[in-house]
Amino acid sequence: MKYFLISLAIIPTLVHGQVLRTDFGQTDPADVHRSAIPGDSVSGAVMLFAQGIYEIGRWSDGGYAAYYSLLFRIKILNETALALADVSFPYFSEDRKEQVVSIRGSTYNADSSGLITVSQLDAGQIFDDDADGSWHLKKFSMPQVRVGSVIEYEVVLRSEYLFSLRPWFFQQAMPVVLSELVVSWEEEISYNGVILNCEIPLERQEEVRTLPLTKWPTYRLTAHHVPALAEEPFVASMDSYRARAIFQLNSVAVQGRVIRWEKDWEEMGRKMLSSEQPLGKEMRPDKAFEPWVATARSHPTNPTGLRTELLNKLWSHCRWNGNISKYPELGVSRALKVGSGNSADLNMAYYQLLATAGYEVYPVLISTRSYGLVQKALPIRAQFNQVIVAIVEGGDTILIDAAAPEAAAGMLPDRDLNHWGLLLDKKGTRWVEVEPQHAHELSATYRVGIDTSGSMTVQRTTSEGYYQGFALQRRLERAGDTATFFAQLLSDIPAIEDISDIAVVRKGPERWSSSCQFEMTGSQGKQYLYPFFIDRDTENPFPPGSRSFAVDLASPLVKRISTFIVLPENYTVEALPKPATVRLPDGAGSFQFAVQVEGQTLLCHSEIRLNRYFFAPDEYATLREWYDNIVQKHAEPIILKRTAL
Amino acid sequence: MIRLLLLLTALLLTLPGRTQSLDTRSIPPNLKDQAHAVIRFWDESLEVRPDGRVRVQVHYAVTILDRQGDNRAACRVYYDEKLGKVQDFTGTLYDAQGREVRKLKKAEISDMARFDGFSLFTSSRVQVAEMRLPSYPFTVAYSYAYLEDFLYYTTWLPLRTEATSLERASLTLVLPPDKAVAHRARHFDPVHRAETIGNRQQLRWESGPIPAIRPDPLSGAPLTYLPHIRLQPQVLAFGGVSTDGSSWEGMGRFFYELNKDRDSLPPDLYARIRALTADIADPYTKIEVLYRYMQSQTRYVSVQLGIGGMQTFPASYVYDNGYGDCKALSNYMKGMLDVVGIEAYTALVRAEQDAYYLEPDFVHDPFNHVILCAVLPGSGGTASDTVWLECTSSTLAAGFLGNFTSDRPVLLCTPEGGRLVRTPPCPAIQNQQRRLAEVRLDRNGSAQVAVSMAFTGTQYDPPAHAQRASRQEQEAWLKRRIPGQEFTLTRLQFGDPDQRIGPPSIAMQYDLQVPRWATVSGPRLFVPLGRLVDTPEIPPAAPGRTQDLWIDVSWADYDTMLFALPENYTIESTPQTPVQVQTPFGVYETHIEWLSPTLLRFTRRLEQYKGRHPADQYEAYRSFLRTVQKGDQTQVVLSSKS
Repeated sequence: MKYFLISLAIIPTLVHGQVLRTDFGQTDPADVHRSAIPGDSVSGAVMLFAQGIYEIGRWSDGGYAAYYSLLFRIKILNETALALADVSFPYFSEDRKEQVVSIRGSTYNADSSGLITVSQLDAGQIFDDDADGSWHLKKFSMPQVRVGSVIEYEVVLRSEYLFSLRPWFFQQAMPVVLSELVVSWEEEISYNGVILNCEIPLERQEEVRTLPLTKWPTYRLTAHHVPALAEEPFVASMDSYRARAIFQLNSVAVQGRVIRWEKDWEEMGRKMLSSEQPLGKEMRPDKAFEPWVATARSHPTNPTGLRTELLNKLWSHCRWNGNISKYPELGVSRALKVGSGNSADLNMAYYQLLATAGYEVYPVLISTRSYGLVQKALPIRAQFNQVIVAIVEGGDTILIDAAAPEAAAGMLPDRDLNHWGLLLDKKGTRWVEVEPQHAHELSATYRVGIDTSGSMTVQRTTSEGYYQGFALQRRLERAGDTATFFAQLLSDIPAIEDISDIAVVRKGPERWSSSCQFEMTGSQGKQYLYPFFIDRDTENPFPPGSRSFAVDLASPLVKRISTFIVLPENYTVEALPKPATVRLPDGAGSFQFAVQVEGQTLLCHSEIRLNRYFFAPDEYATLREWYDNIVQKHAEPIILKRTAL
Repeated sequence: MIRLLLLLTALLLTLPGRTQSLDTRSIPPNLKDQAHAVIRFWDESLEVRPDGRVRVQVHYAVTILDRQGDNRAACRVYYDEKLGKVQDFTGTLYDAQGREVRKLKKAEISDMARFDGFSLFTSSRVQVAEMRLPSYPFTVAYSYAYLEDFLYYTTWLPLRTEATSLERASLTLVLPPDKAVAHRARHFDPVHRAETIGNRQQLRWESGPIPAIRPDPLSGAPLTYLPHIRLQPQVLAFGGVSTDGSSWEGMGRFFYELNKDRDSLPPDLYARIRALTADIADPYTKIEVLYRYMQSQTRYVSVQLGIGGMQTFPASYVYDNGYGDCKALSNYMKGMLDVVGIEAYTALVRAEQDAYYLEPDFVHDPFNHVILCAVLPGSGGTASDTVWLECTSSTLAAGFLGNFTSDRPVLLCTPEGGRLVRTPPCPAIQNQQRRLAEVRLDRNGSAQVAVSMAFTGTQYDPPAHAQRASRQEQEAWLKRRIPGQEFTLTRLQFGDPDQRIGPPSIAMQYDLQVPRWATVSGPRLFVPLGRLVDTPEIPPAAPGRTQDLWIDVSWADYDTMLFALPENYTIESTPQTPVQVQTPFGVYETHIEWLSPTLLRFTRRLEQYKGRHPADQYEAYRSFLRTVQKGDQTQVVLSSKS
């Protein structure tokens, strides 16, 4: 991840600022006439100009506020992009701390004679929707938008949320010809800023705007010809790689005294743990937990058993409501009373329970995979969206997310495996690795019986461990019942007539086992038998082409398939696939394929191991080629010959 | 006094619910079967007011049996903010034994805009509350009231959804003396009672236990199997228009009157239309030209405000903004046709697979979409003709409706009143995908593939959209169409779409480099023949199926694949063909022909026919698809001579 810091000036004074204007209305007629723009083969539109002006200061309309003047000018190149003319602008309206001050919009069209017409956005066609009570959406459709139109709209937002500024994205899903961010703040406050993932050169200008009574340090960042961010598979969040600028309050001068905010992670951690802060106030164990702990202790058990017992106790009183947050929604005691809470409610409740039981326990801030990778350069709270629990036991740090069923097996769910977390400790906040301790483990065994007429009875038994086990559990829940689940699994094999003896059993907190049986009709003469049935890898999951971003699979993989085939006396083996072993460099992975014949019994075995789960872009070709071998080997059938009895 | 009497009656009617034991142990076992939740009681009363609005009052309790039933623990009350807020929203949470755990707090009720998934903005809102316990089963009871325009209240569903059973339910409808309502119960047999209290009429329906219904795969729209009562006011009054609601004629008149005189166009558009059609005599061509002009100048954006659900924005709104919803765009097009003297009427339709919702022998309002019908009078003994127009599409051709609205009864709104007519069918022959592929195979299993395709009718839309997309979007679209096949695209070219009146068509050519078309194993080459064809998925088994099988669309795929195979191989195995399967669901045929020792032709014909079949035909349908899947996975095996 690339980043650099913006240095800051701190000079205490006060007074009022002045609004800078966007370039609204300055659309170049040439852009309206053009039918093609460099880079337009990628998407149906090109962002001609994106401009963000952030001004933070004390205004005559009362108190400190950030004014965001946002301008977007887009050339519509084909019909797939017409939807860009329907705009939804989100703002947080709770207590009216954010207000949309104005919206302006124009559509530019050129007719066949070259005459440009401008259609203004009608203020009566701007609507306000509340998305969830707190978040509102300003919604409007730009008028007269067709292929070839240039649309331009400006939104001015006033926000009293000053701690973290809205991020500015230099990079979009479409190519950007010019993106400009101007950030200006009254000198008595200052911000820390960080630019992330900017591969393209960024022009920087700094100046101090001098108004009659105040000075405004002003930073202008400009990016030209920013390519569209192309999605790639096996990336947890494309936002992790989007060129953007983020800002967090650094200092405020009050009556000549400068109050600095969180200059480093240490300070941020200490502040977050203070008892006035949302997390800090949930750190003191609730007395109501003491009887829970006493009951749990009364069962003779080891330390692992005790914390599992406490977790089950917690789950019997409080369920996860599906929301992820680093801050509790209801607070621990209220969540327990209501019977449900968000991830922070659950995790802080578990923290308190463990603390009551005498464990050495800490909250850990993380960013979930879909929320993007964390940067360590600047202490910015907004990049975290989840809190989990760290238990230090015998020198080991065990991470648990009490809002996930994986916690019962002492593992983190897939969604949390995003490499780094910030452990909050009054004695010293520190980074901890958030990595998988286990793999996706699948073992499938087939027992195939063939009768003399060629009909086959196939028994499939599996053992699904750790991430594979929990994935199975989730798929089962989605399918509704085991019969539907198996029917879906087996629907790709056309010759299957009936599935029977279906069962799924949970063998332990992290292990499931399943079994089923199906019948297949054989063919006349030669029989081409693909021995791995539904567990056969028919497609390379890594598509051709090069990559810009790392492959992040979240956890390792172990997949074993064994097939035992017992042939009747009128069957002979005519040909077998050759055994193979293919390894990835440095022990990152291996594939082994073997086949053996003993009398009328055949044994086929395939084992795929991916010990690593993070591959740099330059390792991609090797990874892809390695998987090609697997697909190729799995595509080779066993050839059986049937003779008349 | 009468008011008091009614109030007391309403209270008495809902009282059993309040006193009913909510102990989950008393739920009969058959109601737990196939169910994730059990509605213990659902009491709903509708009081129609003289102004045509109705006060809807609901009190119900539902027991959540397991995690899959969780979504039933939430109560969502949809209302129109123009008519006022939700009133008296209360809730109580009970444990498994039916003991009260707690009451719902006001702060737990959230109020937000309702997103219907396609409108930019509507005045419809929703209040949501949810209470849960961490362990199952538990019960939630809610009650609330809100105002609704009676015209919008068309259907009462006591079960509301699948996988939920019902212990008992009641609907009470209180009407002023001058109002009448027609009603029809479907898929259940509630006890119905009608009486007069004071000068008011009271209609009441009561239903006893109904076991949970699990939707079978391909079982059609929910109203084809969920118990429901349809209600239809016998006088339609709204926005200053009042007509007879007991006939299709009256209903069509109602919508006609509500929307008439809103299609006049500004002078410069008038002049533009004149200029566009000045040299055209043929009315079909005029429709074609004006329809395409409308498509190029407008796009679909839905804004629904108050009466806007029934009354169109004027044509000038579409002209000013360049967008509109189905009503507004149809009305705009109607105005354009009027300029050139072509008569056209809007038609109300139930779109998509819900065509069943309209029952011609029971006048009611199941409509959710508007299309346009241009009428061309016959001359010199020829019969009059119609050209149907879907005005929200930017790609379709005039006279072609696609699966969205074809082959169903629609209500034509004319000055003489409404008329139920049927939109044209959309048979398989109109909806074709033809493919000719040449596959040149190497000894290492790789192949050079050249493909020519043509799409017509309902199969035209996806490639027509792709044709208008950027190069990268086109490639991504093609990759999605050929799943499970690794390839490098070396050429992709689209023809111009043919959008003349009738089923539209478009052609496409592409070349692929496929690294592993065939599998090499020792001396053998395994060559799959159906790699590129589109094999339909087999829906899951449904033992004990009770619902009819609905196949919604007709289409036909024709494939011809020519394989140029490497030299020096002998043919070890060729599948037996021809395969010929004819069923009521469709036809499947394949044929393999060796044109020379290294040249093979594989032809495939797959047609699917729209239709409704008895539940017991479902396995036969799956078996048909299994034959298709097996046939598509066919392969020849070659053995090296060397």
